[in-house]
Amino acid sequence: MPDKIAVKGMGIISALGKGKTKNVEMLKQNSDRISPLTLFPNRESIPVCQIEDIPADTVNRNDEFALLAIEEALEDAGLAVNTSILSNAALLLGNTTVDALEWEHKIRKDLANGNKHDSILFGQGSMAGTLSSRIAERIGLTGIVLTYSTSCTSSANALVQGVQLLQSNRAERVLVVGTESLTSVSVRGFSSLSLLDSKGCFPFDRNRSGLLLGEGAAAILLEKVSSNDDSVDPVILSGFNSCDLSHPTASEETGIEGARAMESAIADAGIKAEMIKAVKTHGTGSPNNDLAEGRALVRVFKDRVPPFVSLKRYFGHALGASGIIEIVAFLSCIQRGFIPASIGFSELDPDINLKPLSENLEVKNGCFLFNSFGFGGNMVSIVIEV
Amino acid sequence: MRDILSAFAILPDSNPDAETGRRTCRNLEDIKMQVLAKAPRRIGYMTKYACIGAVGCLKNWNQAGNEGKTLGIFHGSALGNINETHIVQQQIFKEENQLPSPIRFSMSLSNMSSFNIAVLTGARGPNILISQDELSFEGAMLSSCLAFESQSIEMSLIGGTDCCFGTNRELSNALGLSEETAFGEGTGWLLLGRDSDHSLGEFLDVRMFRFANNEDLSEVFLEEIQKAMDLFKEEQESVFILPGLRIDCAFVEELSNSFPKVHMVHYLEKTGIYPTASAAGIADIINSAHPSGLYLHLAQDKGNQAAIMIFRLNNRNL
Repeated sequence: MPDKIAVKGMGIISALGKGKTKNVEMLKQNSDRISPLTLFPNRESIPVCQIEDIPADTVNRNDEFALLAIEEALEDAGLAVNTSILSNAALLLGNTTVDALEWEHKIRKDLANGNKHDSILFGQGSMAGTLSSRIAERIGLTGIVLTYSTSCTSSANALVQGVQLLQSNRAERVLVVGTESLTSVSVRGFSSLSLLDSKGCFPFDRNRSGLLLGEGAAAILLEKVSSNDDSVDPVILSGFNSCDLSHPTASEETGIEGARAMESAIADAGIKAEMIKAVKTHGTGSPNNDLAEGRALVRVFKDRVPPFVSLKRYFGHALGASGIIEIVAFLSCIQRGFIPASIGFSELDPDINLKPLSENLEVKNGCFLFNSFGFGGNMVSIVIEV
Repeated sequence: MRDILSAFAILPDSNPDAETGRRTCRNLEDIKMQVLAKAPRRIGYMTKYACIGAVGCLKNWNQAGNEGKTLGIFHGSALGNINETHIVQQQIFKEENQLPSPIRFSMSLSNMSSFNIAVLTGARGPNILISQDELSFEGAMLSSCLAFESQSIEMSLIGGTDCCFGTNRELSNALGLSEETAFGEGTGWLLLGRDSDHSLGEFLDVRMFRFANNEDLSEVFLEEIQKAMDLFKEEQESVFILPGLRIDCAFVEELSNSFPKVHMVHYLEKTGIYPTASAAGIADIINSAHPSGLYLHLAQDKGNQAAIMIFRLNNRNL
């Protein structure tokens, strides 16, 4: 039997709070923390999931979020930052915003002082790899460092390849991290695409009209364990990445591409579809995504669609970090014996004809499917056994 | 290990632009017309380069029997669609909180490059964009190796692209290099798969590692080179070392002394300096009349990470 890839530690920081305990508590209560955007000026007031635990004037938010999540993941695994165990560990980071928030603060400051701002984009740290290198240095990690920048699937792709890195024996441990801060470019960019919902986020609801942006970070420490290992750590059974060629910023509406990703992940896990106990959807609340993903669920599971949830109303859409934030949150809830309800849903959409989980569900173990879909047709589905 | 089936590079002109002092490819549009039957509209400048390069690489490979094979796209770019990102920022901040053009915003996303390549090539397999500064191409190569080893792909297009932007001062600030650096831009692509009868060579390995300081790096590189030669060098085979960006002259001299029979290939003179120049340099070497042999490419970034890529040219199904 081949070795397994186990989740040895997890950490998270989100709008719900710092740490797994706080996040699970809020998820159990089905509470969100949606509030008006105050991190930087915006023409209109929009709801976001903004982290209040980190001061608003912290410009290196991506770094701080990531370090908090990593610290908790290592502690969860019985390790500490700068432990020698990180000497042959790899860091795979999913991120799209890099130091954008810092640049935006500088631009505003220059403009406020009446200065024509330079292309501050080219300050040291403009490039994505600088963020991951800084993080690696701060935690004393001296293995491979890679940054994945595939829009909303960045950290999900990092997780899939983290598993592959261990299976290929190129690292003894892998820290998979996703971190994103809210930025003006993200907020204005998604607004320009008319993808934001001014009232929040209503995944799979008939009246849904868009996304709720969020920020945060999560980290997972992966290790290879023997197939005989009988610990209770979650095991990554498979991860599948594919490309939907139909449109740069929308999913193919019949659900055929989403179904392909899910079916492939399930097949690669060596299980049948009926063994999936529940699905953590991408579920952004956008008319297109939820329609495509809902139809994909039906293609895969036919008339036996398992319980499914969207966590976007709890965390907002944290872009490149969303994949891993939601996986950590979901797994943490399972470890406490439940799956949280999918909040924001009240009316069935007849085009989807599916209703997400409306109440917390008691679940202790099983195989679970995690979807992460992104701009550029990027589709990732992952199967994890708890 | 995978066969190198094809390679394609777009190199900048030898002479820099009079205005910017940087080297660009002035006949990019002509190359685009030759390579792309139908050029995608509304794509960023970097994406355009990457699409031409990737499609050009795939077109260079005309062997039947590969239809239906799962093709993955693995693209490395340090600066991404920097031209479009800058425009978006300007649109937003010109008047506080303006909305940017939605098309421009989409174009600014780095992975629009790998997506558009997938559309042009019909590649529905893994689609990855690695942004790891000067090791972006090496990271993309490692990502591709992981996909091969997990059997999620049968062929892969791996490339690296970066474009000039801003002033030389701004570039030098971002890259930590002097303003007098001979900056360039371009793209390079390799197609890897299995077809030893028609291959140009073999891609053997990519190793990435971190180092504490320059002395430590020298020692590690020397060890890695020796390891590579012990593992891969065939009897009587010539060995070539390709020093990448940031590999300093003193170390190159040390290499020449430590390995006197090894030949140095200074490709950066041709590609110009930019973070993913290794992609174009390697692709150009594969496509040019370079001799058969074992090739070792060395690279490092500012963040204490380095990489060695090892490939063999078996010339010569050119």
